[in-house]
Amino acid sequence: MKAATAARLAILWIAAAVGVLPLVWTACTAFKTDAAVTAGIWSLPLQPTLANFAEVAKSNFSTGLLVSLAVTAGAVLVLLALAALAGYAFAHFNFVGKKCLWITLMAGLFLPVHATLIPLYRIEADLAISRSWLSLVFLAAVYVAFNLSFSVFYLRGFFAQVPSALVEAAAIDGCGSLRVFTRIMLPLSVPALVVVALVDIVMIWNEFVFALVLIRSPKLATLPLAVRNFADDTGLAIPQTCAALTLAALPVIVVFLVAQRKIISGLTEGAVQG
Amino acid sequence: MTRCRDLRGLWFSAPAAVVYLPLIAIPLAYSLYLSFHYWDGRAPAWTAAGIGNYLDMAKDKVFWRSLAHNLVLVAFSLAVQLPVAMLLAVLLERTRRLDGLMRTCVFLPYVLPTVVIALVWRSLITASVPEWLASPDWSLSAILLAVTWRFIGFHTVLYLAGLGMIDRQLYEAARLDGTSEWQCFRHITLPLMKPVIIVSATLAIVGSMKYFDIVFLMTGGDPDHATELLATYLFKMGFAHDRMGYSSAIAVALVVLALGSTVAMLQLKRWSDRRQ
Repeated sequence: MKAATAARLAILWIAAAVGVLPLVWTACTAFKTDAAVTAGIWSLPLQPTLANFAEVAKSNFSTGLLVSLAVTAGAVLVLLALAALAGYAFAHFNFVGKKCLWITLMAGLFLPVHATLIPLYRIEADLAISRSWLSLVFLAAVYVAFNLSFSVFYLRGFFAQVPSALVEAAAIDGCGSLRVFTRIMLPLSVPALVVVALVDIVMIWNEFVFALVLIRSPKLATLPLAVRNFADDTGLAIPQTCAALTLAALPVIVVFLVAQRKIISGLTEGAVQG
Repeated sequence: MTRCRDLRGLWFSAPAAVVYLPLIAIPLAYSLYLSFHYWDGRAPAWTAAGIGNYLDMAKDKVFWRSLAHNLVLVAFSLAVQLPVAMLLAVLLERTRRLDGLMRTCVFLPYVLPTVVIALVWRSLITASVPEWLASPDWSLSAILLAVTWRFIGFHTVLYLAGLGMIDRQLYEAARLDGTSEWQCFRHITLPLMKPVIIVSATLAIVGSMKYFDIVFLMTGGDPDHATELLATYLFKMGFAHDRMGYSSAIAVALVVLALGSTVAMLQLKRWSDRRQ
Protein backbone atom coordinates (compact mmCIF):
# COMPACT_ATOMS: atom_id res chain seq x y z
CA MET A 1 0.00 0.00 0.00
CA LYS A 2 2.85 2.36 0.91
CA ALA A 3 4.55 1.61 -2.41
CA ALA A 4 1.36 2.34 -4.29
CA THR A 5 1.05 5.72 -2.58
CA ALA A 6 4.65 6.56 -3.40
CA ALA A 7 4.18 5.59 -7.05
CA ARG A 8 1.01 7.65 -7.24
CA LEU A 9 2.71 10.73 -5.83
CA ALA A 10 5.73 10.21 -8.08
CA ILE A 11 3.55 10.16 -11.21
CA LEU A 12 1.69 13.27 -10.12
CA TRP A 13 4.88 15.16 -9.26
CA ILE A 14 6.34 14.28 -12.65
CA ALA A 15 3.15 15.51 -14.37
CA ALA A 16 3.18 18.75 -12.39
CA ALA A 17 6.88 19.25 -13.19
CA VAL A 18 6.30 18.66 -16.91
CA GLY A 19 3.55 21.28 -16.77
CA VAL A 20 5.73 23.93 -15.16
CA LEU A 21 9.37 23.26 -16.07
CA PRO A 22 9.24 24.57 -19.66
CA LEU A 23 7.99 27.85 -18.23
CA VAL A 24 10.69 27.90 -15.56
CA TRP A 25 13.30 27.25 -18.26
CA THR A 26 11.88 30.13 -20.31
CA ALA A 27 11.97 32.52 -17.36
CA CYS A 28 15.56 31.50 -16.53
CA THR A 29 16.73 31.84 -20.12
CA ALA A 30 15.21 35.32 -20.28
CA PHE A 31 17.88 36.47 -17.79
CA LYS A 32 20.83 34.98 -19.67
CA THR A 33 23.11 36.42 -22.34
CA ASP A 34 23.41 34.74 -25.75
CA ALA A 35 26.83 33.45 -24.70
CA ALA A 36 25.44 31.98 -21.49
CA VAL A 37 22.73 30.16 -23.45
CA THR A 38 25.29 28.68 -25.82
CA ALA A 39 27.53 27.70 -22.90
CA GLY A 40 24.84 25.68 -21.16
CA ILE A 41 21.15 25.77 -21.89
CA TRP A 42 20.15 24.11 -18.62
CA SER A 43 22.34 26.23 -16.32
CA LEU A 44 20.77 28.78 -14.01
CA PRO A 45 21.33 32.47 -14.85
CA LEU A 46 24.14 32.98 -12.34
CA GLN A 47 25.01 36.38 -13.79
CA PRO A 48 21.53 37.60 -14.62
CA THR A 49 21.14 40.31 -17.23
CA LEU A 50 18.19 42.56 -18.01
CA ALA A 51 19.40 43.27 -21.54
CA ASN A 52 16.80 40.94 -23.06
CA PHE A 53 14.00 42.78 -21.32
CA ALA A 54 15.41 46.08 -22.56
CA GLU A 55 15.25 44.61 -26.06
CA VAL A 56 11.60 43.72 -25.49
CA ALA A 57 10.88 47.25 -24.23
CA LYS A 58 12.21 48.62 -27.54
CA SER A 59 9.77 46.51 -29.55
CA ASN A 60 6.03 47.05 -29.95
CA PHE A 61 5.45 44.84 -26.91
CA SER A 62 4.19 47.65 -24.66
CA THR A 63 1.77 49.04 -27.24
CA GLY A 64 0.68 45.44 -27.80
CA LEU A 65 -0.11 45.22 -24.11
CA LEU A 66 -2.28 48.34 -24.26
CA VAL A 67 -3.98 47.30 -27.51
CA SER A 68 -4.79 43.86 -26.11
CA LEU A 69 -6.09 45.43 -22.91
CA ALA A 70 -8.42 47.76 -24.84
CA VAL A 71 -9.66 45.13 -27.30
CA THR A 72 -10.22 42.55 -24.56
CA ALA A 73 -12.04 44.98 -22.24
CA GLY A 74 -14.29 46.33 -24.99
CA ALA A 75 -15.11 42.94 -26.47
CA VAL A 76 -15.81 41.31 -23.11
CA LEU A 77 -18.17 44.07 -21.95
CA VAL A 78 -20.23 43.90 -25.15
CA LEU A 79 -20.09 40.11 -25.07
CA LEU A 80 -21.50 39.98 -21.53
CA ALA A 81 -24.40 42.28 -22.42
CA LEU A 82 -25.34 40.39 -25.59
CA ALA A 83 -24.86 36.95 -24.08
CA ALA A 84 -26.85 37.75 -20.93
CA LEU A 85 -29.80 39.02 -22.97
CA ALA A 86 -29.72 36.07 -25.34
CA GLY A 87 -29.11 33.51 -22.59
CA TYR A 88 -32.16 34.86 -20.74
CA ALA A 89 -34.25 34.74 -23.93
CA PHE A 90 -33.30 31.13 -24.63
CA ALA A 91 -34.01 30.10 -21.03
CA HIS A 92 -37.38 31.81 -20.48
CA PHE A 93 -39.08 32.77 -23.73
CA ASN A 94 -40.48 30.93 -26.70
CA PHE A 95 -40.08 32.75 -29.96
CA VAL A 96 -40.09 32.29 -33.70
CA GLY A 97 -36.88 30.69 -34.95
CA LYS A 98 -35.65 29.88 -31.42
CA LYS A 99 -34.48 26.36 -32.19
CA CYS A 100 -32.90 27.39 -35.48
CA LEU A 101 -30.97 30.26 -33.88
CA TRP A 102 -29.89 28.03 -31.00
CA ILE A 103 -28.47 25.37 -33.32
CA THR A 104 -26.70 28.03 -35.39
CA LEU A 105 -25.19 29.52 -32.24
CA MET A 106 -24.09 26.16 -30.83
CA ALA A 107 -22.54 25.09 -34.14
CA GLY A 108 -20.10 27.94 -33.45
CA LEU A 109 -18.59 25.85 -30.63
CA PHE A 110 -17.29 23.30 -33.13
CA LEU A 111 -16.71 25.45 -36.18
CA PRO A 112 -13.19 25.75 -37.62
CA VAL A 113 -12.73 29.52 -37.50
CA HIS A 114 -10.23 29.28 -40.36
CA ALA A 115 -13.11 28.88 -42.82
CA THR A 116 -14.06 32.52 -42.13
CA LEU A 117 -10.63 34.10 -42.52
CA ILE A 118 -10.66 35.00 -46.22
CA PRO A 119 -14.20 36.46 -46.12
CA LEU A 120 -13.49 38.48 -42.96
CA TYR A 121 -10.25 39.71 -44.50
CA ARG A 122 -12.19 40.78 -47.60
CA ILE A 123 -14.95 42.47 -45.60
CA GLU A 124 -12.33 44.44 -43.71
CA ALA A 125 -10.59 45.41 -46.97
CA ASP A 126 -13.90 46.47 -48.52
CA LEU A 127 -14.62 48.66 -45.50
CA ALA A 128 -11.19 50.25 -46.12
CA ILE A 129 -10.26 50.12 -42.44
CA SER A 130 -7.32 47.68 -42.67
CA ARG A 131 -4.72 50.21 -41.56
CA SER A 132 -6.74 52.41 -39.22
CA TRP A 133 -7.62 51.91 -35.57
CA LEU A 134 -11.07 50.85 -36.77
CA SER A 135 -9.52 47.50 -37.65
CA LEU A 136 -9.25 46.97 -33.88
CA VAL A 137 -12.98 47.65 -33.53
CA PHE A 138 -13.61 45.13 -36.29
CA LEU A 139 -11.33 42.62 -34.55
CA ALA A 140 -13.20 43.17 -31.27
CA ALA A 141 -16.53 42.60 -33.07
CA VAL A 142 -15.19 39.33 -34.47
CA TYR A 143 -14.11 38.32 -30.96
CA VAL A 144 -17.62 39.07 -29.69
CA ALA A 145 -19.17 36.94 -32.43
CA PHE A 146 -16.85 33.99 -31.94
CA ASN A 147 -17.21 33.89 -28.16
CA LEU A 148 -20.99 34.26 -28.15
CA SER A 149 -21.56 30.51 -28.52
CA PHE A 150 -19.88 29.58 -25.26
CA SER A 151 -21.14 32.65 -23.38
CA VAL A 152 -24.79 32.24 -24.39
CA PHE A 153 -24.58 28.52 -23.71
CA TYR A 154 -23.24 29.03 -20.20
CA LEU A 155 -25.64 31.83 -19.28
CA ARG A 156 -28.66 30.03 -20.69
CA GLY A 157 -27.73 27.14 -18.39
CA PHE A 158 -27.65 29.54 -15.47
CA PHE A 159 -30.91 31.35 -16.26
CA ALA A 160 -32.71 28.04 -16.82
CA GLN A 161 -32.19 27.31 -13.10
CA VAL A 162 -34.03 30.48 -12.13
CA PRO A 163 -37.64 29.42 -11.58
CA SER A 164 -40.07 30.74 -14.19
CA ALA A 165 -42.44 31.58 -11.32
CA LEU A 166 -40.05 34.33 -10.24
CA VAL A 167 -40.10 35.81 -13.73
CA GLU A 168 -43.91 35.62 -13.91
CA ALA A 169 -44.40 37.05 -10.41
CA ALA A 170 -42.24 40.05 -11.22
CA ALA A 171 -44.12 40.52 -14.47
CA ILE A 172 -47.46 40.48 -12.62
CA ASP A 173 -46.11 43.10 -10.22
CA GLY A 174 -46.03 45.36 -13.23
CA CYS A 175 -42.38 45.07 -14.12
CA GLY A 176 -41.72 45.23 -17.85
CA SER A 177 -39.62 42.34 -19.09
CA LEU A 178 -36.57 44.55 -19.52
CA ARG A 179 -36.95 45.70 -15.91
CA VAL A 180 -37.37 42.13 -14.71
CA PHE A 181 -34.14 41.39 -16.50
CA THR A 182 -32.08 44.33 -15.22
CA ARG A 183 -33.51 44.48 -11.68
CA ILE A 184 -33.84 40.80 -10.87
CA MET A 185 -32.02 38.58 -13.33
CA LEU A 186 -28.79 40.49 -13.76
CA PRO A 187 -28.07 40.87 -10.02
CA LEU A 188 -28.86 37.18 -9.55
CA SER A 189 -26.52 36.17 -12.34
CA VAL A 190 -23.40 38.02 -11.20
CA PRO A 191 -21.52 34.81 -10.25
CA ALA A 192 -22.25 33.29 -13.67
CA LEU A 193 -21.32 36.54 -15.42
CA VAL A 194 -17.97 36.54 -13.59
CA VAL A 195 -17.20 33.02 -14.82
CA VAL A 196 -18.15 33.89 -18.40
CA ALA A 197 -16.14 37.12 -18.26
CA LEU A 198 -13.04 35.28 -17.02
CA VAL A 199 -13.23 32.61 -19.71
CA ASP A 200 -13.81 35.22 -22.42
CA ILE A 201 -10.93 37.35 -21.13
CA VAL A 202 -8.57 34.38 -21.37
CA MET A 203 -9.84 33.43 -24.85
CA ILE A 204 -9.66 36.93 -26.32
CA TRP A 205 -6.40 37.93 -24.65
CA ASN A 206 -4.75 34.80 -26.08
CA GLU A 207 -6.30 34.87 -29.55
CA PHE A 208 -3.86 34.78 -32.43
CA VAL A 209 -5.12 33.98 -35.93
CA PHE A 210 -7.85 36.62 -36.32
CA ALA A 211 -5.42 39.28 -35.13
CA LEU A 212 -2.83 37.96 -37.60
CA VAL A 213 -5.22 38.33 -40.53
CA LEU A 214 -7.14 41.46 -39.56
CA ILE A 215 -4.44 43.70 -38.10
CA ARG A 216 -2.13 45.02 -40.81
CA SER A 217 -0.40 47.88 -39.01
CA PRO A 218 2.49 47.02 -36.62
CA LYS A 219 1.42 49.90 -34.37
CA LEU A 220 -1.93 48.20 -33.81
CA ALA A 221 -0.48 44.74 -33.12
CA THR A 222 -2.10 42.88 -30.24
CA LEU A 223 0.13 41.25 -27.65
CA PRO A 224 0.26 37.81 -29.33
CA LEU A 225 1.31 39.48 -32.61
CA ALA A 226 3.96 41.54 -30.84
CA VAL A 227 5.32 38.40 -29.18
CA ARG A 228 5.32 36.52 -32.46
CA ASN A 229 7.61 39.17 -34.00
CA PHE A 230 10.43 37.75 -31.91
CA ALA A 231 10.37 34.56 -33.92
CA ASP A 232 10.16 35.51 -37.58
CA ASP A 233 10.95 33.16 -40.43
CA THR A 234 14.66 33.91 -40.37
CA GLY A 235 15.08 32.35 -36.97
CA LEU A 236 14.67 33.25 -33.34
CA ALA A 237 16.91 34.99 -30.83
CA ILE A 238 16.29 32.66 -27.93
CA PRO A 239 17.00 34.81 -24.83
CA GLN A 240 15.10 37.85 -26.19
CA THR A 241 12.18 35.65 -27.22
CA CYS A 242 12.16 34.09 -23.77
CA ALA A 243 12.03 37.54 -22.18
CA ALA A 244 9.01 38.46 -24.31
CA LEU A 245 7.37 35.11 -23.54
CA THR A 246 7.94 35.54 -19.82
CA LEU A 247 6.35 38.99 -19.84
CA ALA A 248 3.47 37.80 -22.01
CA ALA A 249 2.75 34.76 -19.83
CA LEU A 250 2.94 36.67 -16.54
CA PRO A 251 -0.44 38.50 -16.61
CA VAL A 252 -2.26 35.31 -17.67
CA ILE A 253 -0.58 33.29 -14.93
CA VAL A 254 -1.44 35.92 -12.31
CA VAL A 255 -5.10 36.07 -13.38
CA PHE A 256 -5.21 32.28 -13.45
CA LEU A 257 -3.73 31.91 -9.97
CA VAL A 258 -6.13 34.48 -8.53
CA ALA A 259 -9.29 33.12 -10.17
CA GLN A 260 -8.39 29.55 -11.08
CA ARG A 261 -11.40 27.91 -9.46
CA LYS A 262 -13.81 30.01 -11.54
CA ILE A 263 -11.75 29.78 -14.73
CA ILE A 264 -11.40 26.01 -14.51
CA SER A 265 -15.08 25.51 -13.74
CA GLY A 266 -16.11 27.81 -16.59
CA LEU A 267 -13.86 26.05 -19.07
CA THR A 268 -14.82 22.52 -18.05
CA GLU A 269 -18.33 22.58 -16.55
CA GLY A 270 -19.88 23.85 -19.75
CA ALA A 271 -18.33 20.91 -21.54
CA VAL A 272 -19.53 18.33 -19.02
CA GLN A 273 -23.11 19.60 -19.00
CA GLY A 274 -23.24 19.74 -22.78
CA MET B 1 -50.15 36.49 -24.75
CA THR B 2 -48.09 34.02 -26.81
CA ARG B 3 -47.56 36.59 -29.50
CA CYS B 4 -46.33 39.01 -26.90
CA ARG B 5 -43.91 36.37 -25.63
CA ASP B 6 -42.66 35.76 -29.13
CA LEU B 7 -41.66 39.38 -29.42
CA ARG B 8 -39.91 39.50 -26.05
CA GLY B 9 -37.75 36.53 -26.97
CA LEU B 10 -36.89 38.03 -30.32
CA TRP B 11 -35.93 41.37 -28.81
CA PHE B 12 -33.71 39.78 -26.20
CA SER B 13 -31.89 37.51 -28.62
CA ALA B 14 -31.72 39.98 -31.51
CA PRO B 15 -28.54 41.84 -30.45
CA ALA B 16 -26.57 38.58 -30.27
CA ALA B 17 -27.97 37.41 -33.61
CA VAL B 18 -27.17 40.73 -35.24
CA VAL B 19 -23.48 40.36 -34.34
CA TYR B 20 -23.21 36.61 -34.78
CA LEU B 21 -24.89 36.04 -38.12
CA PRO B 22 -23.07 38.64 -40.27
CA LEU B 23 -19.66 37.78 -38.82
CA ILE B 24 -20.00 33.99 -38.90
CA ALA B 25 -22.85 32.74 -41.06
CA ILE B 26 -22.25 35.14 -43.96
CA PRO B 27 -18.48 34.48 -44.15
CA LEU B 28 -19.20 30.75 -44.18
CA ALA B 29 -21.64 31.13 -47.07
CA TYR B 30 -19.11 33.37 -48.81
CA SER B 31 -16.41 30.68 -48.44
CA LEU B 32 -18.73 28.06 -49.85
CA TYR B 33 -19.56 30.27 -52.85
CA LEU B 34 -15.90 31.20 -53.39
CA SER B 35 -14.89 27.53 -53.36
CA PHE B 36 -16.65 27.16 -56.74
CA HIS B 37 -14.54 29.93 -58.27
CA TYR B 38 -10.94 30.79 -59.13
CA TRP B 39 -9.68 34.07 -57.71
CA ASP B 40 -6.22 35.46 -56.92
CA GLY B 41 -7.49 37.94 -54.34
CA ARG B 42 -6.86 40.97 -56.59
CA ALA B 43 -8.63 40.57 -59.93
CA PRO B 44 -11.93 42.45 -59.99
CA ALA B 45 -13.93 39.41 -61.11
CA TRP B 46 -13.99 35.78 -60.05
CA THR B 47 -13.80 33.00 -62.64
CA ALA B 48 -16.37 30.24 -62.36
CA ALA B 49 -14.63 26.97 -61.55
CA GLY B 50 -17.48 24.52 -61.09
CA ILE B 51 -16.07 21.75 -58.94
CA GLY B 52 -12.57 22.47 -60.30
CA ASN B 53 -11.13 23.33 -56.89
CA TYR B 54 -12.55 20.16 -55.38
CA LEU B 55 -11.06 18.07 -58.21
CA ASP B 56 -7.69 19.77 -57.60
CA MET B 57 -8.05 18.92 -53.93
CA ALA B 58 -8.71 15.25 -54.65
CA LYS B 59 -5.49 15.12 -56.72
CA ASP B 60 -3.38 17.19 -54.33
CA LYS B 61 -0.92 14.98 -52.41
CA VAL B 62 -0.24 17.73 -49.88
CA PHE B 63 -3.94 17.98 -49.07
CA TRP B 64 -4.09 14.27 -48.25
CA ARG B 65 -0.85 14.45 -46.31
CA SER B 66 -2.25 17.32 -44.26
CA LEU B 67 -5.43 15.38 -43.57
CA ALA B 68 -3.31 12.39 -42.54
CA HIS B 69 -1.45 14.60 -40.03
CA ASN B 70 -4.78 15.77 -38.61
CA LEU B 71 -5.76 12.12 -38.21
CA VAL B 72 -2.44 11.38 -36.47
CA LEU B 73 -3.33 14.18 -34.06
CA VAL B 74 -6.78 12.64 -33.51
CA ALA B 75 -5.33 9.17 -32.96
CA PHE B 76 -2.64 10.42 -30.58
CA SER B 77 -5.20 12.33 -28.51
CA LEU B 78 -7.48 9.33 -28.21
CA ALA B 79 -4.81 6.69 -27.67
CA VAL B 80 -2.32 8.57 -25.48
CA GLN B 81 -3.52 11.95 -24.28
CA LEU B 82 -6.95 10.96 -22.96
CA PRO B 83 -5.83 7.74 -21.20
CA VAL B 84 -2.97 9.61 -19.49
CA ALA B 85 -5.40 12.38 -18.51
CA MET B 86 -7.69 9.73 -17.03
CA LEU B 87 -4.78 8.21 -15.08
CA LEU B 88 -3.83 11.63 -13.70
CA ALA B 89 -7.45 12.38 -12.78
CA VAL B 90 -7.87 9.08 -10.91
CA LEU B 91 -4.59 9.61 -9.06
CA LEU B 92 -5.38 13.25 -8.24
CA GLU B 93 -8.82 12.29 -6.96
CA ARG B 94 -7.23 10.24 -4.18
CA THR B 95 -4.61 12.75 -3.21
CA ARG B 96 -5.69 14.91 -0.34
CA ARG B 97 -2.60 17.00 0.28
CA LEU B 98 -1.20 19.24 -2.47
CA ASP B 99 -3.79 18.10 -4.99
CA GLY B 100 -4.72 21.75 -5.58
CA LEU B 101 -1.12 22.69 -6.38
CA MET B 102 -0.69 19.75 -8.74
CA ARG B 103 -3.99 20.50 -10.45
CA THR B 104 -2.84 24.10 -10.99
CA CYS B 105 0.46 22.97 -12.51
CA VAL B 106 -1.17 20.46 -14.85
CA PHE B 107 -3.91 22.86 -15.97
CA LEU B 108 -1.78 26.00 -16.32
CA PRO B 109 -0.55 25.42 -19.91
CA TYR B 110 -4.15 25.39 -21.16
CA VAL B 111 -4.77 29.04 -20.25
CA LEU B 112 -1.53 30.36 -21.76
CA PRO B 113 -1.59 32.16 -25.13
CA THR B 114 -0.87 29.70 -27.95
CA VAL B 115 1.91 32.03 -29.07
CA VAL B 116 3.61 31.50 -25.73
CA ILE B 117 3.13 27.72 -25.85
CA ALA B 118 4.46 27.40 -29.40
CA LEU B 119 7.46 29.67 -28.87
CA VAL B 120 8.37 28.21 -25.47
CA TRP B 121 8.62 24.78 -27.09
CA ARG B 122 10.28 26.11 -30.22
CA SER B 123 12.91 27.88 -28.11
CA LEU B 124 13.41 24.89 -25.82
CA ILE B 125 13.74 22.45 -28.73
CA THR B 126 15.93 24.76 -30.82
CA ALA B 127 18.26 25.22 -27.87
CA SER B 128 18.47 21.56 -26.86
CA VAL B 129 17.90 19.40 -29.99
CA PRO B 130 18.25 21.82 -32.92
CA GLU B 131 17.81 19.16 -35.61
CA TRP B 132 14.46 17.95 -34.20
CA LEU B 133 12.17 20.56 -35.76
CA ALA B 134 14.05 20.37 -39.07
CA SER B 135 13.67 16.62 -39.39
CA PRO B 136 10.97 15.53 -41.86
CA ASP B 137 10.52 12.29 -39.89
CA TRP B 138 10.45 13.66 -36.36
CA SER B 139 9.09 17.21 -36.48
CA LEU B 140 5.49 16.03 -36.16
CA SER B 141 6.35 14.40 -32.82
CA ALA B 142 7.46 17.81 -31.52
CA ILE B 143 4.04 19.16 -32.46
CA LEU B 144 2.35 16.26 -30.66
CA LEU B 145 4.43 17.05 -27.58
CA ALA B 146 3.44 20.72 -27.51
CA VAL B 147 -0.22 20.03 -28.28
CA THR B 148 -0.41 17.36 -25.57
CA TRP B 149 1.29 19.70 -23.11
CA ARG B 150 -1.37 22.27 -23.82
CA PHE B 151 -4.48 20.09 -23.61
CA ILE B 152 -3.78 17.26 -21.18
CA GLY B 153 -4.60 19.34 -18.10
CA PHE B 154 -7.92 20.36 -19.60
CA HIS B 155 -8.99 16.74 -20.06
CA THR B 156 -7.64 15.81 -16.62
CA VAL B 157 -9.83 18.44 -14.98
CA LEU B 158 -12.81 17.39 -17.11
CA TYR B 159 -12.39 13.82 -15.82
CA LEU B 160 -11.91 15.06 -12.26
CA ALA B 161 -15.28 16.81 -12.49
CA GLY B 162 -16.81 13.56 -13.74
CA LEU B 163 -15.17 11.48 -11.00
CA GLY B 164 -16.51 13.89 -8.38
CA MET B 165 -20.06 13.04 -9.43
CA ILE B 166 -19.67 9.29 -8.81
CA ASP B 167 -21.26 8.01 -5.59
CA ARG B 168 -18.47 6.95 -3.17
CA GLN B 169 -20.67 4.25 -1.66
CA LEU B 170 -20.40 2.24 -4.88
CA TYR B 171 -16.66 1.84 -4.30
CA GLU B 172 -17.07 1.02 -0.61
CA ALA B 173 -19.59 -1.69 -1.40
CA ALA B 174 -17.31 -3.13 -4.07
CA ARG B 175 -14.32 -3.09 -1.74
CA LEU B 176 -16.26 -5.03 0.91
CA ASP B 177 -16.80 -7.66 -1.75
CA GLY B 178 -13.03 -7.83 -2.24
CA THR B 179 -13.01 -6.26 -5.69
CA SER B 180 -9.56 -5.16 -6.88
CA GLU B 181 -8.72 -1.56 -7.74
CA TRP B 182 -8.50 -2.34 -11.43
CA GLN B 183 -11.87 -4.09 -11.41
CA CYS B 184 -13.41 -1.11 -9.58
CA PHE B 185 -12.05 1.16 -12.28
CA ARG B 186 -13.09 -1.15 -15.08
CA HIS B 187 -16.62 -1.93 -13.86
CA ILE B 188 -17.63 1.16 -11.87
CA THR B 189 -15.58 4.18 -12.93
CA LEU B 190 -15.37 3.63 -16.68
CA PRO B 191 -19.08 2.91 -17.32
CA LEU B 192 -20.17 5.86 -15.18
CA MET B 193 -17.63 8.13 -16.83
CA LYS B 194 -18.80 7.25 -20.33
CA PRO B 195 -20.71 10.51 -20.94
CA VAL B 196 -17.72 12.59 -19.83
CA ILE B 197 -15.33 10.48 -21.91
CA ILE B 198 -17.50 10.98 -24.98
CA VAL B 199 -17.54 14.74 -24.41
CA SER B 200 -13.78 14.89 -23.98
CA ALA B 201 -13.23 12.65 -27.02
CA THR B 202 -15.52 14.88 -29.08
CA LEU B 203 -13.56 17.97 -28.07
CA ALA B 204 -10.26 16.17 -28.79
CA ILE B 205 -11.39 14.93 -32.22
CA VAL B 206 -12.88 18.23 -33.39
CA GLY B 207 -9.99 20.17 -31.86
CA SER B 208 -7.47 17.98 -33.68
CA MET B 209 -9.28 18.41 -37.00
CA LYS B 210 -9.24 22.20 -36.83
CA TYR B 211 -5.90 22.69 -35.10
CA PHE B 212 -3.77 25.59 -36.32
CA ASP B 213 -1.96 27.88 -33.88
CA ILE B 214 0.85 25.75 -32.47
CA VAL B 215 1.80 24.26 -35.85
CA PHE B 216 1.71 27.64 -37.58
CA LEU B 217 3.92 29.17 -34.91
CA MET B 218 6.28 26.26 -34.26
CA THR B 219 7.05 24.95 -37.75
CA GLY B 220 4.71 26.72 -40.18
CA GLY B 221 3.95 23.28 -41.60
CA ASP B 222 7.60 22.72 -42.52
CA PRO B 223 9.90 21.00 -43.25
CA ASP B 224 8.42 20.28 -46.68
CA HIS B 225 4.84 19.88 -45.35
CA ALA B 226 5.97 17.30 -42.77
CA THR B 227 3.81 19.02 -40.12
CA GLU B 228 1.20 20.56 -42.42
CA LEU B 229 -2.40 20.42 -41.18
CA LEU B 230 -5.57 21.23 -43.12
CA ALA B 231 -5.93 24.61 -41.41
CA THR B 232 -2.29 25.67 -41.98
CA TYR B 233 -2.46 24.46 -45.58
CA LEU B 234 -5.62 26.41 -46.39
CA PHE B 235 -4.08 29.45 -44.74
CA LYS B 236 -1.00 29.14 -46.97
CA MET B 237 -3.07 28.63 -50.10
CA GLY B 238 -5.16 31.72 -49.36
CA PHE B 239 -2.69 34.17 -47.88
CA ALA B 240 0.66 33.14 -49.40
CA HIS B 241 -0.24 31.55 -52.75
CA ASP B 242 -3.26 33.75 -53.60
CA ARG B 243 -5.43 30.75 -54.44
CA MET B 244 -8.56 32.01 -52.71
CA GLY B 245 -10.96 29.54 -54.36
CA TYR B 246 -8.78 26.53 -53.59
CA SER B 247 -8.21 27.71 -50.03
CA SER B 248 -11.99 28.03 -49.60
CA ALA B 249 -12.54 24.51 -50.94
CA ILE B 250 -10.19 23.14 -48.27
CA ALA B 251 -12.02 25.30 -45.73
CA VAL B 252 -15.34 23.77 -46.77
CA ALA B 253 -13.86 20.28 -46.43
CA LEU B 254 -12.58 21.22 -42.97
CA VAL B 255 -16.00 22.51 -41.87
CA VAL B 256 -17.67 19.34 -43.14
CA LEU B 257 -15.14 17.18 -41.29
CA ALA B 258 -15.40 19.15 -38.03
CA LEU B 259 -19.18 19.43 -37.95
CA GLY B 260 -19.56 15.87 -39.27
CA SER B 261 -17.46 14.43 -36.46
CA THR B 262 -19.35 16.58 -33.94
CA VAL B 263 -22.72 15.29 -35.11
CA ALA B 264 -21.42 11.71 -35.17
CA MET B 265 -20.13 12.01 -31.58
CA LEU B 266 -23.37 13.62 -30.37
CA GLN B 267 -25.24 10.73 -31.94
CA LEU B 268 -22.93 8.31 -30.14
CA LYS B 269 -23.58 10.15 -26.86
CA ARG B 270 -27.35 10.01 -27.37
CA TRP B 271 -27.13 6.30 -28.14
CA SER B 272 -24.97 5.58 -25.09
CA ASP B 273 -27.25 7.69 -22.84
CA ARG B 274 -30.24 5.72 -24.01
CA ARG B 275 -28.59 2.40 -23.24
CA GLN B 276 -28.03 3.34 -19.61
